[in-house]
Order: sequence, then structure tokens, then C-alpha cells
Amino acid sequence: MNDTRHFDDEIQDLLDGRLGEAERARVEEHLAGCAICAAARERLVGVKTATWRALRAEEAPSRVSAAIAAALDREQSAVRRRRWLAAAAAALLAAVAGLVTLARRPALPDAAASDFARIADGSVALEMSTPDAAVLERFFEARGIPFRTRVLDLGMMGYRLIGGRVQSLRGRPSALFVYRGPDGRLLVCQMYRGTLEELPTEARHFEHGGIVFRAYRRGGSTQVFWQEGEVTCVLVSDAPIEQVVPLAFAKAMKP
Amino acid sequence: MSEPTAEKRERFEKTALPFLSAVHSAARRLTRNTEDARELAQETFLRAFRAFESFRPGTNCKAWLLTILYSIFVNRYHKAKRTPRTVPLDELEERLAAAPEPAESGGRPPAWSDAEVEAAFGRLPEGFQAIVLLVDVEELTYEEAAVALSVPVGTVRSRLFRARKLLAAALEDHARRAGYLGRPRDHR
Repeated sequence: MNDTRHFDDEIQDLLDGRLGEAERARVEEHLAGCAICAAARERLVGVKTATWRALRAEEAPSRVSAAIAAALDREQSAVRRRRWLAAAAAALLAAVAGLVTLARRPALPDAAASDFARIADGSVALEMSTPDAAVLERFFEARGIPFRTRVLDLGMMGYRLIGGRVQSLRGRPSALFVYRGPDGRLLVCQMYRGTLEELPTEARHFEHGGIVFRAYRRGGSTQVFWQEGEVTCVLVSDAPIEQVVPLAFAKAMKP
Repeated sequence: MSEPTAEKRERFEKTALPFLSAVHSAARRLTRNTEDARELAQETFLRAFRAFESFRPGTNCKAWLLTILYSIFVNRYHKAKRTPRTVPLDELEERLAAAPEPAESGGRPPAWSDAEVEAAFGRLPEGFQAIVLLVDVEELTYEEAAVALSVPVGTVRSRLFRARKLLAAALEDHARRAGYLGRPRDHR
């Protein structure tokens, strides 16, 4: 059955392909029998076609594409520059952060004092318990300590070896071994790759057998450092400096 | 980590630059000024390049570019210049309503010349020009045009319908004045 009213928007929907199947059939049926609506469709088709033909894109002038290419070139350079600057800033920041971290790291005597305290209170356990110096030396070798360790027998001084562990002393591997003294006092020795120049200057200096010793009191303990070749050694005890230095004299050996 | 600029540039040129003519033409129609059109097209591609990560491959890149273009046009050229270049819509519709549509004129409607169409298009209100450009010239869907113009799809439809009628009436009015379209018969 034909609709008796004239169509308006429906004709545009039809032209734009936005009608469902049933609605499209209904409008087309009406258009077939209604000259007024058919003319309206012709009119709109004419306008749509003429608009497309008159306004459709013409090829952009070459100077427009050249201007766009140049703008993109500038943008790319700016992005590269920004990225380079960002990378440089990040590197600078990392370097500053590194320096700050380095500055905040405890000095070696403090680090050694802290390790001593943790061994003493049991918060750091020994990895190898043995009274045998040779066994401990082999243990350190097996654990990849990058230098030959020399675990001395301090039995003559009343100290007996009880064991050791691989420690990290301010980020570097250290061979740590522990003795117990006659009065139950602990004595901790650490050996690591380093130099005496890394130590704070405000120390008490001793010399024995051509070897220089530097003694500190930090964190309630005594730390006595000396150098054996590429290896720095430190003895730590809660005894006063005067009692620890003779132990260091006994243990120290010229390479 | 963002994509190296050389690869991004290559991908952008492959995807977006084929629509340079469409973008430049739309810019020319909207600004009606060669220099402004070049600047608008350039700015469109520059912004598109910067935001290229947000373009979803497989979607209509031309619609995406025209969305960027229209946003720049509205914010920069249109708002900045604020020059009323078109006849107010009410006035236009009133004037054209006085000239009735030809009905049952018999035969096909006249083939309008490009110059006549361009002149009639130029007299359309700006929002109507944009919608005609996007849908009838660049063949965006109503939905794509709605995104580009930041209006609901229903508004796209109603504005488009009115714009076509306004164009038709303007062309017929012109033809009547020029004497090559007969007086319409009374109808409806």
C-alpha cells in the first residue's frame, strides 16, 4: 500500500543508505507512485552530485606538500634534540644520584664495625664453621673470593678460629673469619681488594715490621687496617685499640 | 620507549600523506584563503604526526585527519578572526523559504556549474559547510562526521539535510534570477 503523505527526511536517508530493508522498500514504493517525492529525490541527487563534483579535492600544490615535509623535518630534529637532552639529563641525574649514594655509604671502618656487631649479635651467621684455617681458605677459594686468603692461626695469642663467611663490604666481596678469644671476646678479620687510601684520614697510625696500621674506634669497636699487596685486611674487636693492634701486628705479613 | 622518529615518519607518510589533497582542499574550503589553507593543512599534519601513536590502524585515517583539521580551524581561525563571512542561518532559511521548491518540474534538474555550487556553498553557515564537506564531499559516515565536529549523530543528520535543501534552494534561486529555470508550480 502506498503512503499518502509526502516523504522528506526519508528521501535523504534513502540517498545516504541509512534505511533498513523494510523502510527502504516502503519509501521506494512510494517514490515510484509519487511524482512530487520523486522530483524531490531528483533534486537532492542533483545537489549531492553537483556538490561532490564542484568541491572534491584537487591535488594539493607542491609547495604545500613541501611545507609539510619541512615542518615534519623540523619536528623530527626537535624530537631528536629533546630525546638527546632527556637522555643527557637522565645520565646526569644518575651520576649525581650515584655520587650522593657514594657519599652516603658508610666509611669502611663503620662498615667493618657494623659487620662485627651483626656477627656478634647473631643477625649474620657463619657459612662455614671450622677451627681449621686450611679448610676455611679452601672455602673462600670455592666461593670465588678473587684473591688468595691467608687465615692465620692466632692460637698463640689465645684466639681460636671458629669459622667464616663471604661478606660484602661496601659492595665488594670480602673473606670474613671469626676468632674467639680467651675471655669469650670475638675477633673478626676481613680481607678485601682495596687500598688504605680509601680509609678516612683521621686515624691512629702504627708501624710494625715495615707495615703501616691505621686504627679507628667506630660503633663501639676497634678497627685496625693494614695492606697486604692488593688486599686490605682489617681486624675488628670490641677491645680497646691498644689490645687489638698487637693482634694485628701478629697477623700482618709482608706480601 | 617511543618509536624511533625515522620509522614513525615512514609509517606516517605511508598512512596519512595520501590524504594531503583532501586535507588541503577542506582547509581551502573552510578558510577561503590560500595562505591560511596552507598553514591549516601544515598544522594538521604536524599535530597528526605528533599524535600518531593515538591513531588506531585500520580506522579511517582521512576522518582522523579531518577531525584534527576541524578542531584547529574552530580554535584558531574561526575563533581568532570571528568574521561573519556567511549569512545568518535564520535569514537564509527565511529568504529561501519564500522561493518555493520546483515540483514535478518534469525531466532532470539542471546541471549546476561548479562556480554556482561553490558560490552557494560559500553562503552556507560555517557548521553546515563543514558537514557538507565531510559527508557529501569527503564521504565520511555520519558517525565519523559527528566525531570530527563534536556533535551528536542526530545533529549531523539534521544539519546535513537542511544544508542540502539550502544548497538546492540557493541554486534554484540563482537559476531563476539568471532566467534559466522556470517559475515553479504551486505545490503541496
